[in-house]
Amino acid sequence: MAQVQQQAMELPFYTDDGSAVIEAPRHLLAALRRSAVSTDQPKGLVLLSGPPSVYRLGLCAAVDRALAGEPVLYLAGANVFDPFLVGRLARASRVAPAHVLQQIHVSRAFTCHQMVRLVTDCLPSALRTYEARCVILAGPLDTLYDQLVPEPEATRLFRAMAEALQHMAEQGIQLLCVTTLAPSESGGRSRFVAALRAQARRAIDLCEAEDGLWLQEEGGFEPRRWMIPRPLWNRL
Amino acid sequence: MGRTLATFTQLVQQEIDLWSRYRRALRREDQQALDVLFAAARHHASAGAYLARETPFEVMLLSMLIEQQKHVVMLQQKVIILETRMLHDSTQGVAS
Amino acid sequence: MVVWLLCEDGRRLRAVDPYVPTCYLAAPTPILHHASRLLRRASCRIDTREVERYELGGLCPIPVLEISVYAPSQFSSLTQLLIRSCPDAQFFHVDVSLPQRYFYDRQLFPLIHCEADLTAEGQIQSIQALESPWDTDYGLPPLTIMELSLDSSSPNPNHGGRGALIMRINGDERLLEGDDADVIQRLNQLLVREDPDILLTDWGDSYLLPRLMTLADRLRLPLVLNRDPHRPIGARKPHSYFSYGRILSHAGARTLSGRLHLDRHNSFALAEVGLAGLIEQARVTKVDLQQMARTTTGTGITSMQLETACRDGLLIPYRKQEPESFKSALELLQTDQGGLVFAPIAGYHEQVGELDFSSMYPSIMVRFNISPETVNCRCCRDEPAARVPEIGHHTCRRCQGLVPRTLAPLLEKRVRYKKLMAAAAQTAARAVLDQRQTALKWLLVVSFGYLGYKNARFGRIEAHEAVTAYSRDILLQAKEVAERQGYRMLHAIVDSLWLVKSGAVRADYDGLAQAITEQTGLSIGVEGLYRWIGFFPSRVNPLMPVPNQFVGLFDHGGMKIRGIEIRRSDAPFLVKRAQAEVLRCLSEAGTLAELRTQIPQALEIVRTYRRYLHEGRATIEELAIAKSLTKEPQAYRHQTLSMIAAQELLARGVHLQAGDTIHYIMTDADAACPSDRVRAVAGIDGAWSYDVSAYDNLLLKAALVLLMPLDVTPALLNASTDPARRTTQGSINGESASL
Repeated sequence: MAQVQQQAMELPFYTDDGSAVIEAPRHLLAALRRSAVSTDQPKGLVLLSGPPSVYRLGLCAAVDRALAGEPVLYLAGANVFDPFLVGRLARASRVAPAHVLQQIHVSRAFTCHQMVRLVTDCLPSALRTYEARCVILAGPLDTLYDQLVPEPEATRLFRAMAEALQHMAEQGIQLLCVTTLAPSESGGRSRFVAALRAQARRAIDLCEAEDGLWLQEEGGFEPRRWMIPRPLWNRL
Repeated sequence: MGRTLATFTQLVQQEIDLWSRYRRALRREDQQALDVLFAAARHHASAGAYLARETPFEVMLLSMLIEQQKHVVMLQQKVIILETRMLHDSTQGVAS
Repeated sequence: MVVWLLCEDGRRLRAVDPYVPTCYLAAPTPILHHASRLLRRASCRIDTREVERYELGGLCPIPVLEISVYAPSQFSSLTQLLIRSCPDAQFFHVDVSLPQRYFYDRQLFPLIHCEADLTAEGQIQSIQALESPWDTDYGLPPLTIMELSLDSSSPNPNHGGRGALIMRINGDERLLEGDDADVIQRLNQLLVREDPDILLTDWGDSYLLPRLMTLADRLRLPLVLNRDPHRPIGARKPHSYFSYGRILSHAGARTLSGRLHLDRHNSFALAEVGLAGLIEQARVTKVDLQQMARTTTGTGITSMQLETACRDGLLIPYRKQEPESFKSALELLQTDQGGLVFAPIAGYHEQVGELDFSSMYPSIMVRFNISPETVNCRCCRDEPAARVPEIGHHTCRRCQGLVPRTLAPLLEKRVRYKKLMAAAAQTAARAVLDQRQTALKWLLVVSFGYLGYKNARFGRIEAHEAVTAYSRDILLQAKEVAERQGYRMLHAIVDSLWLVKSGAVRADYDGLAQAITEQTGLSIGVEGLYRWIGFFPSRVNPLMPVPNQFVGLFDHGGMKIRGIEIRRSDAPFLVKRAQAEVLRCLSEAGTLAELRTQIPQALEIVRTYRRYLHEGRATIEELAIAKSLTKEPQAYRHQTLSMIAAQELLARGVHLQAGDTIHYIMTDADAACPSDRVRAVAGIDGAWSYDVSAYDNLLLKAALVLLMPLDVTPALLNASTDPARRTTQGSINGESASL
């Protein structure tokens, strides 16, 4: 089993023209580190948005930091945390899965009030407790789309959360915000993603194609694109 | 709220899906043997869940081995019974 | 607060209690000033004062503004205004229903026997309880019940097939016929003359009452459904909601003032625990009867927790905000588990005993003091006895938590009811006690879910995790004790174990239960001894046995059946009846060897039913399939049979929503044109026919699940029950002869 994955991890990343941009990457995590979702870039808020595959990519980024020996805080707004994926990635990197799992600290929020409280109050103290600098926010907006919460209330909560994120980003915390696009019928709430995008230092879009997952970063000096080949992704 | 992670039964199903190409390329009789193995993994889902290991496939392998081991013991017992009966029959035969 | 009293002389009195509800507000001074300015503009008297109160689990009290509203009718609009105007303030006690608050504060409950002092104008000077909600030998006030229903065989009048109105009272039944105006006028006369306390209806919420109200409106006639003429009839729109992973439909509500309207087809409680159980729930939870009948059981258990909090002077937060504490992914892996389920050893077994822990989860919460504020308390971190098994949590050893305080009397009362039941001489009395204890069981069952429910007022994920961790450890302890005594575990589900040991009799199982109770500290009892029990594999994968799918014959002759057609709401009645007959035939066997001798007789039953089907004799009632819509009918992508039937109803102008149950008949299940495949039952009039082979298939499957473990293969079953042959024996002989 581990053997199969190990083999899968050795497929490289490609650019538009088909050439390998990454020099002989040993495995996916190394590849990721050099890709759009790079986790050892300068600090601040990075937004990764697209179809639900973004959550797996977000988890890969968390594992990558944990493998580098850094404690990671993982805030789960959507029910997407998968410890078994962490286990597989750790093993592919020849590190004891339990060791990596211990480096990732998870809190799950089930309502938008919990999510916002988590970001505004609990996160700053957790960063101190665990001496962490790296935060993955998986689906921070999902709970805000709950139609049982009136839109003005959701908007107020979103602002409080965005403000807290801005503050932490300015303090040099590395924040990777992973989100799917707003569901249809979300009305005024569909603006939340755009607001986060405007606030982010880098914004990366993921789209799925037949040949693989394409990551695209707008802005900067020139637009950049990366591709994760389908066979590699399917074996993750 | 409550549980959010995949249950062990779901993990077995995921594993079955991962091996679907392998299964397709097996002969019918070997596919049936593979299905029995995965059924054994699911049969011990409670123990797998209780252990809660992050790499569940090895837990599944051990569950398959348990069922194999039980089969071996059962067959051994049958062999002993048959042997005893044969021995008995042959001594009876000699005596008569 | 309006209170209706039934006096000892039989009068029904409308009294008013000058009740002053309060709420609390915590915020920085500028916001408090803003709130005070708003309150000064209110049209009723409002008092405010600064006080200190505790939050649940709080170490020290917090300063709050106490707001007393002297007009209960304005309480809700005032608090809503405050919440909108002061979004950054924290609110407490704002969203608890006022009748419930009134019951808590005055220590009363619905239908209580009480003593009240009234002024000549009907104002309550004092009101005192003469009984406790924990009494088990209470009587009920002499309530007059009027029943209203329709003279129709339709499974749901909203889907079609309506009839005339029937009224029943004191054993007297009348058909209200004539034109619409006649019906309304006769109903008015009856309501005035009989003055019922309870209006018990079939389809009153979704069809009867709305229809009567529309008619009266159109004819400009009064309709005196309410006893209180000053109040309008309460109305709630139909809606769908999620509960335990299933989507359910709520048919809306029509509630009355001064009189209770209960709809038998829109009440989980009435259907599950009857009127006696519903009243029991209202008494202990202090939720008004009309609401208790229509709400989830969770509202009941929440109300009990809210009362405990109010009694202890704790603040009830408006919105729960506390998220899960951070835990490492490794800890998450360990803690995120449910109860243990051991897959059964498939097939039939002899001389099996079933042991059940009684109310396992709530008992764990009480015994190990599990509550949102007691899990991972600051004071008991280093106490080994406070540790929760296998996971890193601990619970408080010093202070009893809110949830255990609420549940303990409930558990204790249920035990008392069960004892009374065992001693009851009369069947009728035993039935009432059974309804009451079942009512309490439901409250206990949902109490666990509410520890982990995201919107639960007193929920916390760590508490939820602690309960399941204890349950796993306790089930394993039970397994170990049983195995030490030589038992083999065939199956186990969270709090129940099926065990077998050759030669073990009732006394042995009782002894085992005793030993497990002593070891675990949790009460376990013998549910029963089975002469034989069959565990069945999955229909999809015959290699995989499924939990909770079995048939067992108790030593006293009763049967326990789980998970097969006879227990499924979507199986046609004909299939259920055939399965029941096969089971009755099997139940004549006391041993596995005898079970096999029953096979020919069982096959003969199947053959009789198949022939009945093939001869086209089956009726609509026997063939109807009831399915619940799992999503909005417009959202279905595939042409499933239930979706086609739903489309047919929609086309006829019927309103449908997710969670609604529809009834249909398979007319030609494989037809190329989807609309030929099924017909909705409510729309059938005139000629119709059914798909013999589709129903034949269902029939064979229902028989096969029972007979396959006895080596009856699908081919054998099909051949030996061929409806065209004369007898089973003949068909088998005939075939071997032709070979």
